[in-house]
Parts: sequence; C-alpha cells; structure tokens
Amino acid sequence: MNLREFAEYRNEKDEIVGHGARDEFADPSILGEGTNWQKEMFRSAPMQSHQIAMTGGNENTTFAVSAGYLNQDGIAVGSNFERYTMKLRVDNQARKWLKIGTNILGSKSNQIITVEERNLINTTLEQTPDVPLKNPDGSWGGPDENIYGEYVSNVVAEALLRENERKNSQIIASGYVNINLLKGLVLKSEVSGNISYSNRYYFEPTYQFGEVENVTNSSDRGVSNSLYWNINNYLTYSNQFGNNHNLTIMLGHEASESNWEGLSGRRRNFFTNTIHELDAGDFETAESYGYKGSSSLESYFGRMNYTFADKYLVTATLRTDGSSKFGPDKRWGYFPSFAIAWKIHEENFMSNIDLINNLKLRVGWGMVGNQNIPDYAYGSPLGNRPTVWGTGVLPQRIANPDVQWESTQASNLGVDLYLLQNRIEFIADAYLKQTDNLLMDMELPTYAGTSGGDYTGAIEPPVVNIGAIENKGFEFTLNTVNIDRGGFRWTTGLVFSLNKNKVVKMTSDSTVINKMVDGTILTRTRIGDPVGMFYGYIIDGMFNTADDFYMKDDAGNFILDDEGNRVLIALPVDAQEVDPTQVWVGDYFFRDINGDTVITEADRTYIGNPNPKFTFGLNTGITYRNFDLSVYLNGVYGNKLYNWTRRKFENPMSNRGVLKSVKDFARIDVYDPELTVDPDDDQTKEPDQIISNVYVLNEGTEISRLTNYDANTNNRVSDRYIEDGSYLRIKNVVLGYTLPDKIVKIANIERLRLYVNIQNLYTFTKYTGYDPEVGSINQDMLMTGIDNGRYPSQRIYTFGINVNF
Amino acid sequence: MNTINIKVMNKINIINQLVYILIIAVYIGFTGCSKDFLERPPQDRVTADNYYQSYEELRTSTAPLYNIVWFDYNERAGYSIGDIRANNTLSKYFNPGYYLFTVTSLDYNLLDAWSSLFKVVAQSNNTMNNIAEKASNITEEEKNGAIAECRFMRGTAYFLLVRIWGNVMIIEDNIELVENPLITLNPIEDVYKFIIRDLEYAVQNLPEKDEAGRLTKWSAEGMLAKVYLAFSGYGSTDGTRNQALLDSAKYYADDVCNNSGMELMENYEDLFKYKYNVNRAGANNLESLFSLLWVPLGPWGASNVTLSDFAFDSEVVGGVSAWGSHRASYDILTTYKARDTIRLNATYMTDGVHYPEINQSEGGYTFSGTDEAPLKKYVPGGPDDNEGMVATMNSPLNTYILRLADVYLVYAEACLGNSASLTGGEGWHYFHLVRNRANMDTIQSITFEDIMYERRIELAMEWQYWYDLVTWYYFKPDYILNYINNQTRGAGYSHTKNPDGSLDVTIVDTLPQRVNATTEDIYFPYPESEIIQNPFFNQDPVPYDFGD
Repeated sequence: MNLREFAEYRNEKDEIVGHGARDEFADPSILGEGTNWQKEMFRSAPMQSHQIAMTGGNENTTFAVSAGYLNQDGIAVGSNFERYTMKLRVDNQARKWLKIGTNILGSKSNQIITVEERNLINTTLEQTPDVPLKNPDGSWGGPDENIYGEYVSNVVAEALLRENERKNSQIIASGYVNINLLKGLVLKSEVSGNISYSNRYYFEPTYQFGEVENVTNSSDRGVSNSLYWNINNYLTYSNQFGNNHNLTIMLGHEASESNWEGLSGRRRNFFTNTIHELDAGDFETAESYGYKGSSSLESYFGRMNYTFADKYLVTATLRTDGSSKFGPDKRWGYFPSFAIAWKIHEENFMSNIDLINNLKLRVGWGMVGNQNIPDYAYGSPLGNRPTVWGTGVLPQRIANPDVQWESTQASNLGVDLYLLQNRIEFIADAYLKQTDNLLMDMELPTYAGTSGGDYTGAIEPPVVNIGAIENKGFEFTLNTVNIDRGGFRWTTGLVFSLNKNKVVKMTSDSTVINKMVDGTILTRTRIGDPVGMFYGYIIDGMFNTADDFYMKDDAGNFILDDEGNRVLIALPVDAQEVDPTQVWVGDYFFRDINGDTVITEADRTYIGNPNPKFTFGLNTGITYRNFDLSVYLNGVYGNKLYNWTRRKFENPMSNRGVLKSVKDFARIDVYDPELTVDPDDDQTKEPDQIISNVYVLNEGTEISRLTNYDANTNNRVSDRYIEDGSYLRIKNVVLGYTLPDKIVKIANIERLRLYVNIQNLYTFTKYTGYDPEVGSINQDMLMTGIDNGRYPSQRIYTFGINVNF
Repeated sequence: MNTINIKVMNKINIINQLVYILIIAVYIGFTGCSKDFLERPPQDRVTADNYYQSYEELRTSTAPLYNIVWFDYNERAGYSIGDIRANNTLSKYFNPGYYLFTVTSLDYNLLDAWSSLFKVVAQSNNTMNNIAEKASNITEEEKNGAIAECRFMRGTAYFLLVRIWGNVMIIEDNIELVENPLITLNPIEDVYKFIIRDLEYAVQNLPEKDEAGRLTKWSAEGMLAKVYLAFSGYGSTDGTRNQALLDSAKYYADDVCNNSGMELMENYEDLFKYKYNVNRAGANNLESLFSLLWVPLGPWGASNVTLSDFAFDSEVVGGVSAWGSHRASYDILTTYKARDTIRLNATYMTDGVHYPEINQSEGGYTFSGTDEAPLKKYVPGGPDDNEGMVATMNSPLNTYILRLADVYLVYAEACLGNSASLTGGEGWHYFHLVRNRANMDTIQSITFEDIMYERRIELAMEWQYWYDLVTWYYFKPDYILNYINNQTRGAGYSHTKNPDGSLDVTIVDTLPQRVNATTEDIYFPYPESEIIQNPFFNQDPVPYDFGD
C-alpha cells in the first residue's frame, strides 16, 4: 500500500472499529506515495570475484596454487561480504613405493550483516508507509506516537547505524602418505585438521527515530574458535588371480574430534557512539559469557570388491561407527552394504550390437547411520540460570539413556544404457529407503513443561527414536547429444525424480507428531501419511447475509428442524451467537468435518501436502564456433506451501503494516438505515446490529471484516493460506565467447573467454510469496514448505573473464 | 591419539622401514582409540548425576524456581487473567477478549499461562525428584527444606491453574509422564487436596527464617490459609462454606498474623519501589511472603518485562521505550471510595497527582490528563530513579504473588465465614490494619461486600481479583455472575478531580458494554494445541490416585 491507500484504509477502519484514523489522514488525496520500505531497504548490489590459479611440477612432484577474492554487496542496504582465499596442493612421489602430499586452504572473510536475513522481509513489511525514511531536517524518520503502542523502528536507519559484523579466519590442512608395502598392498594414512577463529562485533548506538528511541547504547564482542581433526588409515590389498578374478580388500580405521569454545562480553552506557570497543562502556554494566564443548567419532570398516571377467561385480562393506552423542551402551552402530552389477554389454552375445555401447544392471542394498542430535542427549545436564542469588541450575533436558543410531536401509535397482557412441546416456534407478529409529525431539503436550525453550525455564524434551519413514521413488537421467555437426553442438541433460514418502511406524499406532509455529499447530504427521502434512481448518466461505447462517440442502432450500425453524450452521465453540461481538457477516465459516454442529479443534483436517509429486532439472548447452550457451532449468510440481507471511500481513486488524490486498476487507452495509427494531427478537437496536439488516457490500472478497473482537478467529490456521508451490525456474544462463587463438596468441595468452551469467533469471509460478523455494524451518522435515519471510533467491548477473596463460 | 612422523632418508634398509610402518599402522588401525575417546560429558555445565552434593548446591538448584519458570505467566498472561478479566484494567487495542469474555482456545496469552504454570510444575518436580534421588552429604532438614520449596512452588502453580481452568491434570513425575504423556484430567476437588498436601509439607519443612526473599514456613502458612479459604466454598449447594475448612484457613492465617514477626510496610506505595524489593539489603520488606524475584536488567527469561506494557509513555520511565495502552476501567474508578486516594494514586494515574519517585532529578513527575487513567502500580520511574536498573521491557521490580495484607484479608474473610457480618475479634482487627494504612475509616460491621471491595482495591493490578471472583463463585454462583454481568465494561470516559481528591467520572464516546457471562465463562477454555493432542480433555475428569 502506498500512503494514500493506507490512509484511506485506516480512516475506514476508524469508522468501523473506533480507532486507526489520524489527523493527517483526513484528506488522503493530498497525501503522496509515502515511504516504500521495501524499495528503501533493498537494492541492486554489485559483486566482484577474481581467481588466479597456477599448476606446475615435474614427474615426481606436482603442485597447484590458487588465490581468490570475492566482494559482494548484499541486497539489503549496508550489507557486504568479502573473502580472501589461498590454496596450495603438493603431491610428491618420493620413492617408487612412497607418495606424500599435502593440501592447505586458508581463508579470511568479513561480513557486514546489518539486519539478519531471516528478519529482513518481515521488518520491511511491518513498517507503515506514513513513516518517513528521513525527516525534512535530514534526521532519520520514525513512527509518531500512536495509541496501539506498536512502534516499528526505522529498519533502514538501523541497518546503517548499527554495527553488526563477523570476521572469520580458517585454515584447513591435510597431509597423507601412501606406502606400497608389498605388491598389491597399500597403506594410506591421512591426517587433516580445520582450525577456525571467528570474531563477532555488535554495537547498538543511541538514536531516536520518532517515537522509537534507544537511550542506552551497548556493545557486544565475541570470539569463538573451533578445532576439528580427523585421522584415518586404510590398508588396501588388490590383486588379480588368473585372468578373470579381480579382488580388492580394504580395512580401515578413522577417528575424529570436534572442539569448540567461545567467550563474549557486553557493556552498556558508552560515552560516545563512535568508539565501540568494550573499554569505552560503563564498567559497572559489564557482562561476560563463555561456553565450551567437544564431540568425537570413531569408525572401523572393511570393504571387499570382486570382479569376474569385468562382467560381474560384487561389493560388500561392513562398518561400525561409534559416536560420543550416544550413551555407553548405545554408542556403536553396525552398517553393512552389498551390491552387485552385471555389465551386459561385455557378454559375447552383445558383441554384435553396435547400437549399445554400455548396458549395465545394478542391484544394491545398504545401511547408513545418522547421529545428528544434540550432545549429551543421553544424560541430564543442568542449565545455568541467572537468579538474584547468583547463578542457579535447572534441569535442561530429559535424559534418554537409550537413544541410539538412526539407520536408513536402502535397496536400489538400476540400469545404465548408453547408445549411439554414447550420444544417448540413460540412467534409471528405482529405490526403496526405510529409515528406522528416526531421531527426533519428542513431541509432548505443553503440560509436560517442555515447551517454550530452556531460556524461559522449560526442560527440553528427550531426544527419542520415534518411528520409521519409508521413501520410495524413481529417478532417471537422460543426457543426449542432439546435434554435433559443423562446429555446432547441442546437448541436453534431463534429470527427473519422483519420490513418495510415508510414515510406517510410530511409538504407537495412534501417535501423531504436531509441529507448531508461533504457538499454533501447523503440521501433523501420522502413520500412513507423508510427513509434515498441513493440518488446519477448511474455510467454506464467508457469511454475506443473514441467510448464510442457516443450513441449506443441495437444492439451496433451508433445512428445517422438527419445529419448522431454520437450523444454524456450525459456529466456533467459543462464539456460538450471531452477534457483532461474536460471529457476524464478514466472518468466515469453517467446515464442520465431524458433523457435530460446532466448530472445535476436532474439525481440523489435513489441508495440504508439502512434498512435491516430482522434481526435475533440465540442462541444455549449445556451442557454435567460439560461442557457448548453457541454460539450466529446474522445477518442482505438486507440492503445497503455507504462506505464513501472508497470514501475518493479511490480517485486517493488524496495527502494523499490511498487504495491499487488505484494502478489500469485507465492508458491511445496512439495507434499511432507519430500522431500529430487530424483527427476530423485537429488541431495539442500532440498524447495523440487526442481523437481517446487514450484508457484505463487496461480496466475493477474500478478506474478513474489521472487528475488535474476532471471536471467530478468522485467521486461524486454514486452507486460506495454502498455495500451490509448483514452479519452473530459469536457474542459470551462461553465454560465453572464446577469443580466436590467433588473436590471443599475440598477447602470449593460451585461452581467453568472456562470459555473461545470470542466475535465477525468472520463475514461473502461481505462488504469491516472494519465492516458492521455501525449504524447511530449522532443517526439520516436519516443517517443510512454511514461508515465514524467508530471504528470497536473488537474481545475480555476472560478467566474467577467464584467462589461461 | 598418535601422530605419524615419517623420515625419508636416503640410505635406509627398506625392510626395516616396512616393519616400522607396519607397526604404526597396526597399532593405530587395530587397537583404536582409548575407551574414553567417545566419552564427552558437558564441559560448561554440571550434570544431574554429579550435583546436589552440598547445601549450597541445593540452594542453587531451587533458586531458578523463583523467576524463570514463571516468566511466561508474568509477561502478559498474569494481568490479562487476574485484572483485565476482572474488569479492573483494560485496553481496547490489546486483548479486549479478556474483558469481553471472548477469549478462545486459540488465545496466545492463555497458552502462555498454561505453559508457564506447567513449567513451574515440571521443574519443581524434576528438581525435587533429583534431590530426593541424588542428594548426599546433606542433613535431612536441609534436604526436606529444599524439597519443601519445590512443593510450595508446585502447589502455588496448581492453585492458579485450578482457578483458571478448573479440572487439570496432576503431575508428580515428569520423567514418568514422558512414557505415557496422554493422561486424564483430575477433578477440582482432587487438585485442591493435592495443593493442600504440598503446602502442608512446606509448612512442616520450610524454615521460620531464611535469607530475604526465600520461602519460609510463613509463606507456606499464608498460602495454605488462602487455599483453605478458597476450597471452603467449593461444591457448596446452599450458599455456605465448609466450616472445617474455614477453621483451617483461620488457623493458619492466625499463626502468620500473630507469630511470624512479619508486618505491613508502612506506606502502601513503597511496596512498588525498587529499593523495597524484598531481597534487597536494607529493604526490610516484611510484607512479602512470596515474590517472583527478577534479575534487574537480566536477560529475557529472568527479567520482568512488564515495564513497557504498563508504562503509558516513555516520559514516566526515563525515556526508555514504553507503549502501555492499559487504563483503569470505568468500573473500578467509580468503585473507589472518595477517601481511598492513597491506593488509587498508587495504582492508577489521575489528573494532577504528583509522584516524587518518578523523574527525581526534576523534582518528581505530575500526571496531567483527564482521559482514561493509565497505570501506576509496577511503574517505577526511569533508569536514573532506580540506580540505572531500568531498560526497555526490563523492570527491576519483583512481582508479588502473596503478601501479608492479602493474608490479613484472608483472615478476616475466614472469620466472617458464613455469618452476615464481622463486628470484632482478630479478623476484624487485621482487616483494619490493611484499611488503616490506606487512611480508610473503620467499618464497625464488615460484610461480604466490604471484603470484596477491600480485596479488589488493595490488590488491584496485582493479578488477584479474577481468582477471587472464581473462588466466590464456588458458593455464590448467581451472585457473582450477576455482579459480572452488571459491570460496565470497555467504556471510554473522562474524569475530573474534586478538591478532596475524589473523582467524577463521565462516560464519553464508546457506549458502555455488558457481557452475558454464564457458568461456562468462569473457567477459560483449554488451549487448542493441547486438546488436539490429548482426547482426554473432552472427557470427564478422573479421580486422582494419591497412592494412599
């Protein structure tokens, strides 16, 4: 909404609910556009990236060195990311039987964050257009005093004034030795490490943006570092017996450890906004924090590969992994796998078929483990909590000493078929994966005291192995060279995958897992269904006139009870009367799923599946002489998204910013402005309080009426915010031109290529939010497809030069 | 772990070297790491298995029960239920459903109350069960004292729960609950019995004296008296209260009044000043029996965030952001007796009242305005008035859950019992101690209506009055429903000050509204997210098995 529209909306709101208007809105026609906060906050941002690489060496030693620089402004004002990288790789064949090598990567980055990405969309939408970006005197604008006590800050000013920076330095290094002990017997030992240092800088200055004032400045400084190391040893024996038997056996051991620690400090009351280091703050306000922890993993494994006549291939592995995340009795998990393949085209009977270059059948079965849970979930840590008597301790998580590895068994049947001198490659796989002992925080009712996070005193629920999920699907890849003639080459690659998932086991058959967003349930998962189904009410329409409150049969005639009276349709349990303070025209009516003539939580149902029916990607490339063009498209089909942002900003009673669609809220008019006696009960009332006298003027609108009471809870979780998430995206387009050799040779350059790259060029979708590629909240698969103001994919244009000397 | 150090030398016996490398490989690859390698207990916190080993450790484990677990209740739910529902205070823009009786099971603040009070239950259970199981090297008295603190907290949380929702589930072991989380509701009667057991244990095991702010025997006796008084009316069919329970209420209230050594603060308004926070050195606040003890400028969870909701403007809190839209209701302003200005001015701001404690550097603050009266209670002034301990959404004030004046009024009400009036005796005496402090006149013959007035006015904006109405509803249902339905709710008004400090209040603009409360409106609906998960919410409560 621009300012004129906003003023009109607020004026109308005031007439209906008694608040919202302001003196300066009195004549909307003289108002300007107001502030477009999204336009002010977002910008087109330049990016530059440079890379230089060198390789060299002799027959015993090879090396590769490269250096890179990236400088990328963020699309939000003030934000920036800068990174330097340096890589070195050296391999040395020291002796015939000994090879050593090392690989070192160093990087340093500096990130200016301003506003956290997850808040960007919501903060710009919340602000109203009447708030100026800057005042006439040049100072930053802010909201005026209002009756709601809802003050949204000047997010642009905050972004530019506030310091919010992160610096990170990292070294990843590894070294290996390969020793040929005996013929066919090789020992490879590798040690690698990753050392990372991060500094965090945050300063909140004093400021005043209208009514939003910060009188206390404060600074946060934090450092953290982590060390990860990994050591592994493999002993491999491979040999050929006779002409046809090839055997490789490998034994290995691996161990790794992660350590992390951090310190941070905070002070307030700085005597100036220009010095941000802690020393300039008030000593008496100093706070300090620290943490430390570690985890470890150890594995033993063995693998056997056997090939007969290069036609029949067998692989078997067994590994056992131990993780510090599990209790002493559940620490180790065992994960075997087995696979066979048959290269049919190597058979004699195929030798005359020239059409087929490669035909291979594959069958496999295997297990993998997952240990991705918080540390020490098997025990009961006590959290440190501030009290007036110093630090106190409170149970932090319910222990589950029996928590164990999650495992996924996958069976797979595949075929590879290459035709016409490999111009057509077809690879297809069908799979069945069953994940057992699914690791998850146990979902408990709120009365278990486990809701709300440990920072408000909750004890966290135990981590449990809750059940089993099955995924089955089919995917294929088809790569073709369509034309290759006269310097013109056109290739395409298509990847298609279809997946179905289903919950097959839970703690008990009736167990369901509910997931909440902002305190209300949004998804439910139960046996037999896909995971994370949206679970809410169905809106069957809006009450437009008094007649809509009564049940009708299919022919549209009123249903009458035994006494010949019309029958009220199901109303919410907490709002059983047709009354302006309860349910009224302009409210939605919900479907009575269980037919008990009242709308309760039992009328929630499954209103959408966030899992796509299929996904696909299409890559196509054309080269002609010195030009090359490649286009990559990807898409998903058949998934539903829950537009939580729209639910938030399409609420007509919000006192903050709202979406433009809200302007069309249900307007209620009266048939007879003189009517003062309600014919239904003969009471004297205002004309607009008589149900038979009111109706929705703009019938057909999607937005409910304005009301202070909302006993009907119009914006409860319903199918109104479910949208089709299918999309087709032009993900990447590259157009390149390589300068002719003759020209570049003059400058002693081996190859010089210019290119233009556009990422996320365009998206075809019916979805009304910013970006249909929503993902999952906190990587939780039970919270997939919920759009809560996710930072959208950006369109990125790149112009580049590759030079090889 | 081991590192490998390989020296490549020119002249070396290859066989020797092979043996050397093989030994390393075999050593590393096949003996593996030591057993401890995968043992990673937390390094920055203690664990339940190695704690509870001294008196000091017990004290640190009960201390968080005084703040963080109550945070969600303190944030907005407490006053929404206790005062807005009771029509003491309201905001047309914020939570109007509470005074209009249109709160639904989807209400967010209601879920906060539910969640917070059950957090109190859960963490009290977890802490006391840990102590009972793991504590060693501690005297029985110390151990029972710590368990008594936990049981007081649990009993108090249930006392609020039972008056908000009626039937609720009794939980004693939250670890066991995980095995079977879908449990039945228990009837109101059993919840009261459970509360009484907890508080009786607390009476027997809490010390008579402890550091200021900690629970004592007197806290438990005061709370127990209040519980007995509330329970005495439950289930009544003839409009009278159970005399045996009234006598128990009297017994415990009497002990607190006469033997505790506790006394009222001299000035009513001092109760809501930072320097009189019970736990502060030199505060000498002998009126607080149980307060939530927030950490001044503490982090989210341990701080009192009501400041910005209560202060109507940043000018009364030294410029920090504040947006309070709550105002005194028309109904309560017209209820104040003309003489009751001490309590009026300490609770709501009306035209021309001077507050020396706000903006002290400028000689105080005088409110001017003749519209609806904003809140004063729990609005302590700005950072400069409070040793710097005020910030946006951060008040240094404790929250009273039970104070001595409340117990005095409980005593009077228990003495009044089923009689029409109270004309003398201890109850009459303590009733007047409360009134005298507020410079109110003597009432020769105290009636039930006098008790109602006194509780409403003395404890306004202390989140009590709705709970009182519920307990009175137990034995006087028609009277209380009638009382609620005759209140003027949600009216806009203006006021003028008379020379004697009393008010003339005139309704303007919005028409007075009435609600039509019925039996079903006494208890709030259970949160929707709970009913969805547990079908027992739609079934009758089941008697609790006390195991004896």
